[in-house]
Amino acid sequence: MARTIITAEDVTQMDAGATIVVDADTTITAAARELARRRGITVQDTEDGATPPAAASNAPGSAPGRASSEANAAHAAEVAAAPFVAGGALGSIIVTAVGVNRPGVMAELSTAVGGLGGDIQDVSQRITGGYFNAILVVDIQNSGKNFTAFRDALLSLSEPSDYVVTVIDERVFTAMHRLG
Amino acid sequence: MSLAHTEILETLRMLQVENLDIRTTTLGVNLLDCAGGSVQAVADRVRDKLIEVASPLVPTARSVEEEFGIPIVNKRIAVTPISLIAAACPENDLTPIALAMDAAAEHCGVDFIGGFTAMVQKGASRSDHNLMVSIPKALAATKHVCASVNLGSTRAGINMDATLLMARVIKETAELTAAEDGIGCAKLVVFCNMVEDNPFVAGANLGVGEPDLVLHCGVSGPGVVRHALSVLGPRADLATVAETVKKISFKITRMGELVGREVADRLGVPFGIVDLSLAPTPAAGDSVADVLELIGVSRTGTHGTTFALALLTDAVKKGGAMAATHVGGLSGAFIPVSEDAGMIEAVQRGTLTLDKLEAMTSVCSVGMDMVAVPGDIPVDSLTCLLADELVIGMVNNKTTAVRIIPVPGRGPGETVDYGGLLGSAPVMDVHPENSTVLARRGGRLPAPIQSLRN
Repeated sequence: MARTIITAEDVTQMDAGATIVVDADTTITAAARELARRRGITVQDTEDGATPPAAASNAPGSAPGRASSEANAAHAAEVAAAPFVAGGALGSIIVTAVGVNRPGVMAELSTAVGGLGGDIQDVSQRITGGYFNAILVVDIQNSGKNFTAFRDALLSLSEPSDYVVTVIDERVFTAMHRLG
Repeated sequence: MSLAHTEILETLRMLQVENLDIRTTTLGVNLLDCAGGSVQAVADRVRDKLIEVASPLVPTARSVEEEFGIPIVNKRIAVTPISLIAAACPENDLTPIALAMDAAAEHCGVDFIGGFTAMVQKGASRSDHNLMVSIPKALAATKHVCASVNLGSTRAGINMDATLLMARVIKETAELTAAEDGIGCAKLVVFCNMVEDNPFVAGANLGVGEPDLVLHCGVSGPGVVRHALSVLGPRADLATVAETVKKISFKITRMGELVGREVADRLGVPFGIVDLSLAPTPAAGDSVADVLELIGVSRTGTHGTTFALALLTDAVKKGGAMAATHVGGLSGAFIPVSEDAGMIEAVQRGTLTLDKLEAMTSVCSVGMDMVAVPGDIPVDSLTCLLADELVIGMVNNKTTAVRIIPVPGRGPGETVDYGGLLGSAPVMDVHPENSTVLARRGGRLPAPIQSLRN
């Protein structure tokens, strides 16, 4: 069956408070997902085959292929459609922390960032098998501090027996995954 | 977030698990203004200029390395071919210039400096000849200096007089560094169709068409390609394999260009090219041979190896070409024997022979690299071995090179350990028949018909 693609243009035509259901045959672009978040539209990821209510009727279908190459194609479509955020790329850092889960980790990370005047733009955290994996996108542009200050403060939280922190300039990730 | 969780994790995995790194940032320095009337005068000027202009390279690269979280493994210098700047020197021994280069490299903290170089594809000037015969002593007396000689090109043919001379030079270099198993030869390479913007040693130099200062960058990442292909599995068809390598190569190169441009900007010098070569290291998982085996060859060296390598080299170039503004250097896949754990194993098991390696070089990006052979190989055999490799480059309009170590006192089956990035080299068997007549005919092999392109 033809794959449904939901783009940012589709999202602009939806009402605030609506829900987009993304099933196995639907691809939502990163730009659409971002716009939905800003407009208060819920994106519900599901594998159960529910029909997405806001699917564009004339969405182009992808060529039939094996499951793995479809997944790759979907990922590639997301990457290709995502905007290259030049403003966000300058002066942002990506902080990751991996370790055994315990209360207070996010508080420690965000306190360190906040203490230096960093602005947390996005947070993602997942817990798998008792281990947490956190990613923070931090805008340090208006903090008055440089990269090294943030890196030193965050790495000082790092303790191999507890959790390990990495701090990398966001431009590395955007160069690798975004065309701009 | 504008970046997906999976994308961030993919990049982190490449950097932390799959040995992705910037293999080298190489500062090209034009030394034509250091020419002088005596070897000592040239040496003094070379040392002073290099210390003045190249000192910021290492601290600058380190700051970028720390801020971007990407290792820049090597910081290097490439200079104008020394035979050009020594042309007015009456002395025959150019070793003092190599010593000056070595002192400057030590002061600047770089691991290698390339450019003790001559271009003799059509004929050797007096200065070129002086440089070639100075190589054994120069390499034995220095730690960081790399020498290279261009012996042929598609436009000029192959200078067989110089090839015979270089076979003698290679043997003598090995003898002078016999205490370290001929390690001097690891810093010496001969070329056909040498490129003038190569950031990788031992062939790095700054050609005459380059600016006063320029920063070239070499990226690597066999481990990343290996991971992508292992996820893909054995059922994907060849187009999917090639696509996978292209996509990974694209990502690696984008990162290389970002880092290279940042180092160049901070140094205040123009950014030159990205050399997108898959360069293996002896580290586990960082092997081009492993990639060939994931493509489907049961052991590197057996039937199918050349095919798999051709696929790999081409896909790396295609992905990288779309990712970089200027691609240059050698660009493709390197197959150095001693620096690749998979290649070493293939030689030790007898699957990879010198003859198969030669066939592979017709489709890889460089040539026969870091190959150890018995120290008693006759000069005439070595000349013909060089000639075979050079002619592959000449006829196919590509760069080929030979970096070979006739290890004094060692024979087939033995292994010599050079340590670090140079790895350990199993001594490979050579043919016992000695083609003295061919080696001694002398003269220049005429350029092939494909040189007539105007």
